[in-house]
Amino acid sequence: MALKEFSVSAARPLPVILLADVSGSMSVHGKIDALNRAVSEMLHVFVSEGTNRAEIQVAVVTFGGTAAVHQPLAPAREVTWESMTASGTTPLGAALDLTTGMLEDKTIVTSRAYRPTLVLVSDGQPNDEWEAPLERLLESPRASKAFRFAMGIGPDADLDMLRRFLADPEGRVFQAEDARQIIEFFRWVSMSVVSRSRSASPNATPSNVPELKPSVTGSTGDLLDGLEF
Amino acid sequence: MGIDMASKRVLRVVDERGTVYTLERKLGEGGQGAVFRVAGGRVAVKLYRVPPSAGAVARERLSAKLRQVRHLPIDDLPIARPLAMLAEPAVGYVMERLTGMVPFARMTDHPPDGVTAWYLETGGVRRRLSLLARMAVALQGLHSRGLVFGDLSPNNVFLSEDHTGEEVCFIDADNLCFESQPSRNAVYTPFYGAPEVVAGRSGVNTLTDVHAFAVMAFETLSLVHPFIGDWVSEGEPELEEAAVRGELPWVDDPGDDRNAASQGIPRDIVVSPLLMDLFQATFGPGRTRPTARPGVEAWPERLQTAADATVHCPECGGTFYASRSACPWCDRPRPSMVLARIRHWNADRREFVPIPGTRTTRGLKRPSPLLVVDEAGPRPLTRHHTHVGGRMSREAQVDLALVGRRLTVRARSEAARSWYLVSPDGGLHRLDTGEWVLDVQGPPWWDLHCGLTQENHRVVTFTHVPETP
Repeated sequence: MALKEFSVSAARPLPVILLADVSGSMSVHGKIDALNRAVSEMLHVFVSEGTNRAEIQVAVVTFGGTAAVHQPLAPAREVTWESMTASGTTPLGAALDLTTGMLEDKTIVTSRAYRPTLVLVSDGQPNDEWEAPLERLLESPRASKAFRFAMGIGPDADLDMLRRFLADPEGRVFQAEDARQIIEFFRWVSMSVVSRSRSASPNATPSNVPELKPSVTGSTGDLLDGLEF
Repeated sequence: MGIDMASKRVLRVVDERGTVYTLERKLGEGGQGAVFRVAGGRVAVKLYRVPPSAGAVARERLSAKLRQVRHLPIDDLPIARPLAMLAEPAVGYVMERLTGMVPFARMTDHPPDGVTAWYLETGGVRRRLSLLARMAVALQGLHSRGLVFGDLSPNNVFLSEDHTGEEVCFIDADNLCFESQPSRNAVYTPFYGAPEVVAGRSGVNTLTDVHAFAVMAFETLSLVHPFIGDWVSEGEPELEEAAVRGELPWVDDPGDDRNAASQGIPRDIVVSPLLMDLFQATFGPGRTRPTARPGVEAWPERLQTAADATVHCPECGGTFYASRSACPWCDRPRPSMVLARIRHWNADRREFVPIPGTRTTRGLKRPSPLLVVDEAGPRPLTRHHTHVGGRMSREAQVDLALVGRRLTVRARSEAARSWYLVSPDGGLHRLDTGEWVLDVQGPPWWDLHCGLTQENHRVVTFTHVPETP
């Protein structure tokens, strides 16, 4: 007996691109370990919170010594997470250009895709020419529409650069002092993305994500992760 | 402390009386929060997504709402009633248990591949129609009492987990409101909100309920959202926002195919013609003009009759409308079946009249009750079939089972024992307590009279239809 097959429309992609600083300084104080754990946890939330309508896709661009696509854009459920390792300098400019190229390539981010989310994480000062690449990113049609999140890790983070990346007077740079806060930041990003994937208009700004309060202590437990409480 | 932060794996909440509940896993999620299964399984818990700063206001509003719901006349409806508020800092409440039930989303969240096998495993067309009929009856129960459900979605309705079960239960009682008090409340679940609610022009009312219901029905049957055809699906996301605000034609608009859907199950397989009329009225003119939507009372009989008109395929186990000559899932010819056609005996005029032949107040046709009996197992004639005014009652009266061309007839209710069979040669046989095995190879056919000649009653005629050659 052969059953006739009927096709169903594919979910619309919702791209999330992480720009991760993996320069040498990230290897101290357990920063890179916390970042790896946080990303892996975020992927887990994306997989378990998937819906029929929005397919959360994830890419990771790293900058440490050189800028590289650590994880090409792929549906979260298809990603086998490989930990990042930290070494070298902080070539942010090259990473920004890689990201702009990825976002504007319609074979990677199709026109069906919802507005992308960009997440920039860094613990130091960029050491290549980054201002022109940032301009290019902010002026490119799709990257300019992206939702942007930024986190500075530790006291040496370049908050001014991170603020310019957000390019939003209302936007706040999240400052993480320790590993726990790195994890917390990614939970907030996950919530925001999941909330958007479930919203009436996944293209719009999430409205019911609680404001992130870095002072909140204690985890709300796995059950609440991604629940936007 | 309402939320126990001590453990990372286990989440506990406490209600106002101090009872502690351990939340096991998320059952479903809607526009406002999520429902969790509770360890021990006697109750379920709904938790709201509320920023901590808004907790006090949200708790006060919810508490007032629940006090109101407690006094609503809904005891006979399948709605999980709120039992207790949760204590701070959680915002939510404890509700009646939903044993063996799962969110309705199980019927719409299809896998990316192997859709046909999944569709049949989850009950096929017949179970989908039956479940939707039960939902429509429950919604009609609310609307007829002047109540609005508010946030109808596949996450707020639960159904039997067992793929043969056909129970439904609504869970989000806290969104119930009175039709007479026009609501500015515009809580809705993405893709199920009526266009006027999504666009912010209206709060919820019975017509927005009926829109949400129709979307669920269309999606459950066809696996396509009525506003998301190829145009929207392949287009940029902004187009999707316009679609859910009702600004584009619906997928099966007879006069505008710009947004036609090549995806999903073809409608002629899963949507009966009378149901298509309702979908067209709801998503065509009703898309922009809410008053053009048929009321919920138009749905139960058409859904039930469509379910009754399905036949079971012995090859693939799927069900399909008996009007088709072959199974649309595997192409096997339609198996032999008995069509129980139902007419009305008018005692004064001493003649059969077709039923019901009436139109509802909105000018919609009411379907004639009928039942298809195949060899897959017994099917009951219910009060819905056998009684004048027995609309939608599921109380079984007579069991019918087919083997070959022999139909077994057995009374299930006390009343049915006094009914009688008329054989093709005109002989009368009281149904009584026995089991009647009829050779249904007519014509002339056997008739079952659900009453006496001197009174108005329904008459069931058993027509045998051999397997399609």
